[in-house]
Amino acid sequence: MKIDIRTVRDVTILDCSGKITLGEETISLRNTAMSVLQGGAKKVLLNLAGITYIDSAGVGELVRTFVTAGNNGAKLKLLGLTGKLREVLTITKLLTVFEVFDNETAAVLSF
Amino acid sequence: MDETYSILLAGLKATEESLALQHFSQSGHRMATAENVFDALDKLQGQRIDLVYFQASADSETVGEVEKIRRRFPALPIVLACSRLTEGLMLDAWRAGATDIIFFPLAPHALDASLQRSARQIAARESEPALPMPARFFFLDETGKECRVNIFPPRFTMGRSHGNDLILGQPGVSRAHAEVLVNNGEYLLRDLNSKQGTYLNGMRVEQKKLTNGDKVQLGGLQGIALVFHAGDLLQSLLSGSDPRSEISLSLHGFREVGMLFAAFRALSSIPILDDLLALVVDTAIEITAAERGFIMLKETSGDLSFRCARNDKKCTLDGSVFQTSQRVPFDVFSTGQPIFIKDLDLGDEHVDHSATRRLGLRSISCVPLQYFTVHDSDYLSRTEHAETIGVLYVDSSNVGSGSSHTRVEALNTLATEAAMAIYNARLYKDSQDKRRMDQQLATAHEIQQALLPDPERRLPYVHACSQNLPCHEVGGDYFDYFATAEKHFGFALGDVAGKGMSAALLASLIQGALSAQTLFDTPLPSMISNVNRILAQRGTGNRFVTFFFGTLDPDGNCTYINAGHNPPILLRPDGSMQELTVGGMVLGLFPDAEYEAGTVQLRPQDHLILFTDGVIEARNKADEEFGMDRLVSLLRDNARAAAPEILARLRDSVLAFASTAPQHDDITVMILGFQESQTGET
Repeated sequence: MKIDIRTVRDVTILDCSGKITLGEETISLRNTAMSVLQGGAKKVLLNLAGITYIDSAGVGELVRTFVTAGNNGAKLKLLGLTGKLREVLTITKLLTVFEVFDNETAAVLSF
Repeated sequence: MDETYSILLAGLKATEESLALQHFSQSGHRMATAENVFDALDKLQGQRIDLVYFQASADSETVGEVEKIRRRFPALPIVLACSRLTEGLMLDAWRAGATDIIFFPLAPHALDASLQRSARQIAARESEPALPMPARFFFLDETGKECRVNIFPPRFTMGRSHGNDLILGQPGVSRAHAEVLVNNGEYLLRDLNSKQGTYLNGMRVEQKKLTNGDKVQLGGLQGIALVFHAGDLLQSLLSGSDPRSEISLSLHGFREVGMLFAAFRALSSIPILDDLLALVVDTAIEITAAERGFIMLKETSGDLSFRCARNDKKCTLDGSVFQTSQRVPFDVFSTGQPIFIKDLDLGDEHVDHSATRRLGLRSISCVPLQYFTVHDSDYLSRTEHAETIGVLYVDSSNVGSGSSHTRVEALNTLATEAAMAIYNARLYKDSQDKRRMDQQLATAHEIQQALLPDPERRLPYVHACSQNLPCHEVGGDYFDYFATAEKHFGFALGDVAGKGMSAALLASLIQGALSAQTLFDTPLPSMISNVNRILAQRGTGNRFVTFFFGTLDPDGNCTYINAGHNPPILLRPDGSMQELTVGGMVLGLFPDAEYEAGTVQLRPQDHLILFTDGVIEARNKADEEFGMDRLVSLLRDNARAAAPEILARLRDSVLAFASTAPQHDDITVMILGFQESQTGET
């Protein structure tokens, strides 16, 4: 999985593409999120539009990242849920945990 | 009659019970039934009952049984139901505490009259305060089954003879052996001049106050052991909290037993060796309040190899950096004798532990894992043919807080049970490796099937069957059938594969939660949220379990909770379908998640299809998914078939679809057929 970091206004956006599965990818997501948060980011947007596949470990990591952000006084939101990812989050009833957006501008303005 | 009451029918024979049930329910009263005086006491404890109609187990038992109820519930109206022929007993019954008498055969007008007579007493009783939860003893019966008995005030007697509250037939137990006196929340254990004595925590006593976690033994130190517990049962059964939080030391005795029981249940059903080893080490760490632990196993070469190191956060440690005493595990292995060192600093003139102390360790417990080739029927005794297959080791940088006899015994018992389970698991693993060459799903499946619950269950009103196609890389789906408190059909399915949580551990948590639920009549949402809380507390914040639990009664009422699992499908014979989605989120992430129960009405010939996502996500060589569309269309085509038929067609369809593509996830399907026609359609 590739993660690119950019900033729009004061929102840090993590563009993720590829798969999020148990192993390197979940570790990479965890590390990137941690370093961004430790760098002082208080507004983080996970752009998942490029994610082609996610397994339950990946979903678990998303939740953990969300909780960690909260513990660091930051807000984390999701952008661009693909069909499969949205479906998994719906079945597991975790969709309501997150604030989810389809449009980047709306997401950035919402913080 | 305007007033409606909650009425308990206890000990009534079938025809009389049906008559009374029917008559009273027609008038809108809330009915409950109990099989005998003990069942009645349980039911009376668990819910508010206004009036009891009671038939004793035998004429000679009438006075004793009525007294038992009266002692516990001083103001409860008790209507004794008996045969006219036993008029002589009536006087004794009045004295014992019955408030009214009614004769067989029961007639509607007589039932109404007795209700009228009792009405005034019921009204007077409204002001009675709620009674506190009783304390209880836990013990293993002769068959090794875990038993639990409530200790009711004012007096709880134990002994060999028939009139005791707890009748124990083990050797060394006198006719009237001991009693517990209950007064104002205090429990006093008293020996009743028994021949072989009453022991409390290893010491013979005449009379002593009981505290949580105490171990009582009747007839000697090899005698039947009862663990005393007072307090919130649900919390204790499910507690997985940090052993070093501020819990009084006296609670630890019970917690060890509780953890042991949970581990035993888990041990008897884990086929996966690594999961089993982790569970054993975790339990040993909890029992001893240690910081780290590992298991070493003897390999076929005869050498000891290092397996499964864990810390007290249930994380696996890297064996190559796990520095520990070299001597202790090898000594234990070669001598077959355990070693307990409470404080390495205190020194031992025979052994030099300086190297170990330099590592920062302070206390060590190490027990051999011994497999006994002949298992004696008596739980406590062993044969001489012991083979040591490895060692179980825990250590800590703190002084050992427990070489308490309870802990030592708990650790020894865990090691014995673990050795047996490891032996079995290794047999399973060896044969798995051989079959891996073979790539025949059918043969691997045979082994797994042998270790799972019986896949088929038949009740008069439901036919349940399931199919599990395991994927050995991943771990295990969990599924099981239950009997609920009302003797209805319960069923559960969960996806725990690859989540670091073994299916068997979840199984033991669920079973623990269920037994607590049936005892205290907790509603389904509370039970599930309790299990969720335990899993979330033990977890690391990123692993979860999807779970579905439901009950089905003979009228087709189905109550369920879907915790983030693929919604099961209710399939009607006309091919129409409905998904069961109500519940809450997956288990194990958010400790305060809330759950609600859903209900659905099944009609005859309806089917419930439960499955794990391995079915939907099964892939063929073209990397296409089997998908919901194929599942739905297959179900529609087979809506009139019998449950086993639907199951077989679904299994064949998935196997044919996947063909030679490798399987990446456990595939589990459970199908329930409600009131299928007797002839069974094909």
